[in-house]
Amino acid sequence: MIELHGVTRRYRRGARDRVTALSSLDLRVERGATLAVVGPNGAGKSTLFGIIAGLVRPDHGRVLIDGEPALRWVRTHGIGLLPDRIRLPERHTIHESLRRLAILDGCAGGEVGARVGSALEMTGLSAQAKTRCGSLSHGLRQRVGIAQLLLRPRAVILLDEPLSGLDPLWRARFREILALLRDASPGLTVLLSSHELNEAARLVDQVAVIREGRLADCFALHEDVADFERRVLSSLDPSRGS
Amino acid sequence: MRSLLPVFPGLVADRAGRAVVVTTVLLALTVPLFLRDGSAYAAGLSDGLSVGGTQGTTLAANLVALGMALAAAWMSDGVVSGLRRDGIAPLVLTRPVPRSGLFLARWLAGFTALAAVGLTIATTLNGVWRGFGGAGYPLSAAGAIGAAAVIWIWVGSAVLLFSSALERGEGLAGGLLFVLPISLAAILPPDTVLARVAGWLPSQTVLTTSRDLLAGRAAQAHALLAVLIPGCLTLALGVFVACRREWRTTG
Repeated sequence: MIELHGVTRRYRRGARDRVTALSSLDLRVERGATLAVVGPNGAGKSTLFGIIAGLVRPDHGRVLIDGEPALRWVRTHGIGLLPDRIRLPERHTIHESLRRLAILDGCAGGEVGARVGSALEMTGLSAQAKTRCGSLSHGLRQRVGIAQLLLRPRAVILLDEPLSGLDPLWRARFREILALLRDASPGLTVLLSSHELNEAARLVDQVAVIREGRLADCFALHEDVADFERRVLSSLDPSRGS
Repeated sequence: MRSLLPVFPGLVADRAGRAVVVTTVLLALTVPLFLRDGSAYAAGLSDGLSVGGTQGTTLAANLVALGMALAAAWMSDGVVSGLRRDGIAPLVLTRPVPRSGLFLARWLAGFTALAAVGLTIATTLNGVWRGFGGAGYPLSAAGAIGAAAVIWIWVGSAVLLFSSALERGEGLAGGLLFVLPISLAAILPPDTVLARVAGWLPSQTVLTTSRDLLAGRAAQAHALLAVLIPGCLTLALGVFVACRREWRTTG
């Protein structure tokens, strides 16, 4: 279970100007849930993921994963993260990058090759395994980002705009991969951010709406997509009504 | 730390390209000097290495030291801050790897590459000198190689730490620590106040001591202390600043 209690994070913008990315945010995500975090640009979604992943330190508040401070939990167990703009070592090939990440994931020497091979196959990258990361398109980088999530079973995965750059075929494939991951890791908790409400609705069972760094709404996804969109939009802009 | 061992050769190999460039450039700068002095010694025209002996060679030695400092700074490329700058930190730091182990592994990889460069240059120069000058070189082969390599590694490891501490740190770290004072000492006439001040700075003392050792003169005790004390303080400060920055910004 992931818990955020009163999390605030401000960034410096210029000499005096400070921007509040998250403001006293409280959020609770049960183990096994798949939650979409939606909100306008600059709402604080990427900051939220960075804080849960231990990459950004909150100014105030606490983040717990399974009752343990998130940072300690991440250092012990590791967390799956697909960043918004994924960057890879330019000079390394896809295979080299994944191999190193598999080693850092703690894969034993003998199984590194098999895991990398399997991840490459699942993401359709086997043919491009020897391509240098510096020459990859955004869509291919995104697929490498998905591949590195498959290197070992995980308990928590954070996907920041996972569908951006993927063509319709790979969007469908991504849904299949997410289903496979859920099957492979019972209790897998997934948080994903997306601006594409239709796509998000097909992937998640809960939605958290963030507006100006605060939780504007949080609900289980039972209704059809049109109702879901209406509710998200009215949370983001209360003047629209429900 | 054990989990990082398999990636260690890769981390060292990442710096191999730069190491080759640095080695080539520095050898190109220094081999002619050793060839000239070795040949002159063999012909009975000189008493040994004349590094620092004339205004011209002093300038050349200063420029080589400047090149060494710049090269060390260029090779260091950050320790963990380099990961952030390259944008790959999110993928690495979210894996179950202890921060201290990662820091140590990356620093050791940089250190190993620098040591390889230092030893290669020292061995080659010693070979050139012995090939042309033969006997009469006051330091043993191992001593000469060791002296040159230790000085290089000292400079490189300190820069390595500082480049970790500074966000965009290679040139800046090298500049702050070594390049500026050496440049001042090299460019300004020796009787100016600034040049005299620069002469007291650790970088200049390192330079002077290295020239003494390379020329086969025993370094004076106070000069060695002047190298060791600021050196240790610099390294300690580098460790402190680097750790503080790495841990503060990566959680």
